[in-house]
Amino acid sequence: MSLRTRLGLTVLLIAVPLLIGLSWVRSELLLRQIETGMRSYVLAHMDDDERTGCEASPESYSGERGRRPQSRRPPAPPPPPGADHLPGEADAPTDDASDANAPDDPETSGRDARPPRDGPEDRAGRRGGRRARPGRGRPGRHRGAEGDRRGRGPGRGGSFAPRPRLFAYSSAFVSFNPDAPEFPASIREELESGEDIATAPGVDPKGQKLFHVGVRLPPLEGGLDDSPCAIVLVSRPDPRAHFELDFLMWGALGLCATMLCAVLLAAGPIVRRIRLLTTEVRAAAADHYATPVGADASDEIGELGRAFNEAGAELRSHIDTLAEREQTLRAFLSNTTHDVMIPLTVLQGHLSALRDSVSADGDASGDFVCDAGRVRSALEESHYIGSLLHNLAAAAKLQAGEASFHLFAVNLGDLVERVAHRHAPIARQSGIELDFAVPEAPATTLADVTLLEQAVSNLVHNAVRYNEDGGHVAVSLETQGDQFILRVIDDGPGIPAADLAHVTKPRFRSDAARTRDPAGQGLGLHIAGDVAARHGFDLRITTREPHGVEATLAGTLCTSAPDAG
Amino acid sequence: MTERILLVEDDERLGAQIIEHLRGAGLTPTWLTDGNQALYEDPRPYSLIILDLMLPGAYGLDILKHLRTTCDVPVLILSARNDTHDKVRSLELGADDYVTKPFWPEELLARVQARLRRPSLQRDGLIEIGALRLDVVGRSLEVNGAPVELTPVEFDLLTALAKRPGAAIQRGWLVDNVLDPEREGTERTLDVHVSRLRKKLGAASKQVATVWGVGYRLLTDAPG
Repeated sequence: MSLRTRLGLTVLLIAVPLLIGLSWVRSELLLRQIETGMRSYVLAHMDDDERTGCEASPESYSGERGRRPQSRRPPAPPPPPGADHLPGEADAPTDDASDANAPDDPETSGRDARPPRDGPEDRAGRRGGRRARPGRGRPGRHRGAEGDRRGRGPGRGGSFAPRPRLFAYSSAFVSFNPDAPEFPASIREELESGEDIATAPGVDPKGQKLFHVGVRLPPLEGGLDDSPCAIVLVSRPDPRAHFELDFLMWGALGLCATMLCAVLLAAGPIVRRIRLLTTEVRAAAADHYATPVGADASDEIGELGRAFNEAGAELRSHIDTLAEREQTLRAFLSNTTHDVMIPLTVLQGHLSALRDSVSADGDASGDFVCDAGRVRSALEESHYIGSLLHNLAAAAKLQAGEASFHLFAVNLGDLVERVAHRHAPIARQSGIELDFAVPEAPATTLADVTLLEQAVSNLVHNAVRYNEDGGHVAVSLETQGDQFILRVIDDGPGIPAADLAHVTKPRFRSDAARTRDPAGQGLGLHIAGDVAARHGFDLRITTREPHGVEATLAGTLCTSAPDAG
Repeated sequence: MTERILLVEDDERLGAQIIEHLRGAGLTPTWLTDGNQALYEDPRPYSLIILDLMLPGAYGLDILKHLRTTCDVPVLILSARNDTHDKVRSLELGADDYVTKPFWPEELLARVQARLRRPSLQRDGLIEIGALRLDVVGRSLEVNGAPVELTPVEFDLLTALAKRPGAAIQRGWLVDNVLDPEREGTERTLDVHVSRLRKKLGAASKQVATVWGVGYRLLTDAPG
């Protein structure tokens, strides 16, 4: 659902119930007004004279006053007694005409203005009885009141004949008037329960909605005890039956429509800006977040643009880091394969030569000349390849950083023994004496065992590799207080003084570092130096007199950690 | 009676080579290629188990765990992964050693024999090494059955070497632990003592071997 649709629906969702509520409130207010009006009417109408008349002839009383033409025309003089002494019909036009100045309302013009349709003698009696009474002004007063009421009321739209009809009932809710409808049950209940006035909706015989008001009249002085006019029922059409749109409703409807338009209009620019931002975001994403989106506005959309830019910048830097890492890894991989290829080729060369010497001179009886030197070379080469692979893995681990280290208490004595056993075969075949000494008590230090072992192995390998027949290599581990000292000494050709200072410095990127130069430092010592530095150990490589190398690795022992060899 | 070794290794060529080396060293190897077989094998008759971690089907460390629940036989792990975490884990689960590939046959054998080595029996303070017979308590020495008189320092020196037969002992350590501290001896002094000791040992003097760059070692057998 789009934004504008949502906004429009929201406005409608609010407006429609509002309008419905408004019209309901209006109709309820109208109802109250009518109730109040009808009550006032009843109470005003049922004055003492009326009640007396009602009690006198309840079977014909129906709330219509006697014909008193004079009373209907407040300023006009009373007409001659005979002229208007006609049954209600003759008076009716006059009645209507007299009400011409009142708003056109056939129902209300009939109400009370029309004299009751009772017998002439009653009328006359009543008329007579009343002519002198100052009550004459009352109808006018009533009319005025009713007129006022009419003016206030909504009756204008009414075009139906039924007028408010008034019927009298006894306190037993029985009417002597045969025309009177049955007293509505709900009003009866309320009146019986002590209320004086009650209202209820109803339906007339024609099906039109009516409104009934039942009023319990106060006891009449001098009236009958069981008065047939104790309760009065007034009925008039229910104005709520017809839904009328008046000014108020039109106004409310117009306001809601205006609001809807305003909201949709206001949403226009917002939606447009959001669409624009969306386009820019898509473009940025396709561009790997190189171009930022518009983020100048100071409102929420601008904020969104800024937030997106920040996210994009971070993503970009992340992508760059990953790309760089991938590049490094690729370079490393290609270098690795390159580094292994050479010794492998050399090895193949040795083995190939051996095979040739075997096939050239040998036969099934095994009588062949075997170049022992070449065999040894082949073995050395393969030893070198193994060492190289471990070194390359160690270099990768070092490059990955301390996070990849797995530190625990390493038993240095066992480490020395392992390294010595690793290089012993090659040393022996070269006629080099390789030995080691470790203290009886375990000496442990906190280190990554794989890296530390490789570092020590490199020192030993270097000592063996460039030594000659009859030479010696010794690995000695000692403890002094909380320190350990691991020495690898040899009596080989040694390292030129000029190189000594640089020999352990990391030179991973340099080609020279990775090739095997005649002096023979290569990758191994660099790794040894880097491992020592990362572990906080001290590695010193010095010349031994008269010739040879002494490599000393010193560090701190674990005080009381579990031995994990 | 030779030592029985159990090898659990799935690679045909490597396994065959290892078996050959073990036999060549005078050991009695048994070879299982399937890790699951190892779970059903009773480990108790073996002196050592060589277990490859990278076995198809069965996870090597689970086999290790299983072995540790049934016996105390030393386990030597073989692995192509030179990974610290793997090593720590194996040792935590009870492995005794961890050998990474590639390895030399001699290397493997040396590690195997190190695990099979029994500690030298020192019943009642008696140490017998080669032609020597030391009574540590009584402070007496017999060479090929004949008693030999040694000075206290010489005796201490020989005992120090004898307590770790075959192991090289550093000069510095010997100076600190054997020589009289009040006398402030040096390595020079130590060498003199060793020289005198050798003379007294006579035919067995070769058992006291010099280790270049380190110190001395008492050989279990007189060489040659």
